[in-house]
Amino acid sequence: MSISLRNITKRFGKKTVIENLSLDFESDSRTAIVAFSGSGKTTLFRIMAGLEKRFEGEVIHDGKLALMFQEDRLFEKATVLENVTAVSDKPKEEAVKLLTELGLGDSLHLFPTALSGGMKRRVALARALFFDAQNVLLDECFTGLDDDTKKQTAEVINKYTQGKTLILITHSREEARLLNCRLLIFEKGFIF
Amino acid sequence: MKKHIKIIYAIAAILFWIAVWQILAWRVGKTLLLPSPVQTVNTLLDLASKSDFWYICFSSVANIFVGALLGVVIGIAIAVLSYANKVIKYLFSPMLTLVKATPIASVIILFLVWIGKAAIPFWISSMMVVPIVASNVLEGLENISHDLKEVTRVYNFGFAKSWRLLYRYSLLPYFSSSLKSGIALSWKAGIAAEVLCTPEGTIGNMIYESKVYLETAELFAWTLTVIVLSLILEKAVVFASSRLMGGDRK
Repeated sequence: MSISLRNITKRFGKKTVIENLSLDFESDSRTAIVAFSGSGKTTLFRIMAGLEKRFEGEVIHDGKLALMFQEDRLFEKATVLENVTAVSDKPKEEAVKLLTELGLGDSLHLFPTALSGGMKRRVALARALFFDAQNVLLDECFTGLDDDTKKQTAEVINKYTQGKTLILITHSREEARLLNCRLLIFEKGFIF
Repeated sequence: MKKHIKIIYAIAAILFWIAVWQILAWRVGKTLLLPSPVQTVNTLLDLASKSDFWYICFSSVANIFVGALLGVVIGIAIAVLSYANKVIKYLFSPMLTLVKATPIASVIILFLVWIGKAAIPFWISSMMVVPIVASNVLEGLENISHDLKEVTRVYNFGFAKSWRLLYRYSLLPYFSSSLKSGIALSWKAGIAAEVLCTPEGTIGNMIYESKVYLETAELFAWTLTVIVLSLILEKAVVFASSRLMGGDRK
């Protein structure tokens, strides 16, 4: 088992966002949690990532976790390449290769403020993929990408997450299919 | 507005006020009351030709500047401790407010009772900087993006990497602005302390003596020296702090 959620319950005041949720993500599995805005998916993401401290239940991680947040969260005073290489000691050439595959080969030395929304998204994705982790958790990784770029990006994700546990949080079933994920529908705090 | 146009406007404004000063000096017609710009500059050149002048300037700058640097270090320490611990933040808050609100003259007189007059400019300049640096740096620390701090934790960044990518750029504007106003204030307060305490071989003492002997042109010349040194110190400190923190990239 790579990631296990045991009896997770999360409340904000009197409102219960997640109720007694248990889930197992096997090693080398690919899962998409499909949820709509306001359904508590960001809360679920934060609990799975170990960023949320106040909740009932238990999260068990086996191995390191690479995260791509719903927001880009790039360091504005670092270039595209520096943002990616900051997370790993792997050779810089590997980061260049990954960014080039994501269509950012010409933007390596640009600062995030000079990038479009879709480009920033791909830099954030590259950072998560470049991190040496067995588990990869992506939150809305295709936001701001057109259809062709989505397909190109999905191929890169599939290539770089082979043999890893991939969890995608998305509002779109189509995006889940692009990454060959099994579908879990998350609604009103429950998984269907 | 283009940079050279701005410079032209700035120089024109300075020339305008020097012209106003010159006209007023003509109208008053008494050097004892208001020396003209030309008389002031001539007096300053006379003073600068003596070796005493440079020793006095160096003595005041060294004393007040080292005091201000100590204040910067204490201010940073208070900010970091306040950021790390809310109890310390609340503990220091009334002290910093008190220092900011207390008239400098009262503190100088109080210090005259407590410590030797020679050390007062040093401690006064130090004290003036502490609340400015502490509150600015603390504000900078509190405004560092929570989201990016989470990124540094998720990807196990050490202190050096977090500093290089996040902290230094977030803190630089707050730190530079606190240095700019803090150094200027501490310089003025330090000179005021020198005027009131009259330690030997300082600019403040020379200003005091100029007033006692009604050497108004000298008083103006020393005041001009204080202004020029203040500008040089401010620029030097802000430049040095920017270099020290790695500079801004864009």
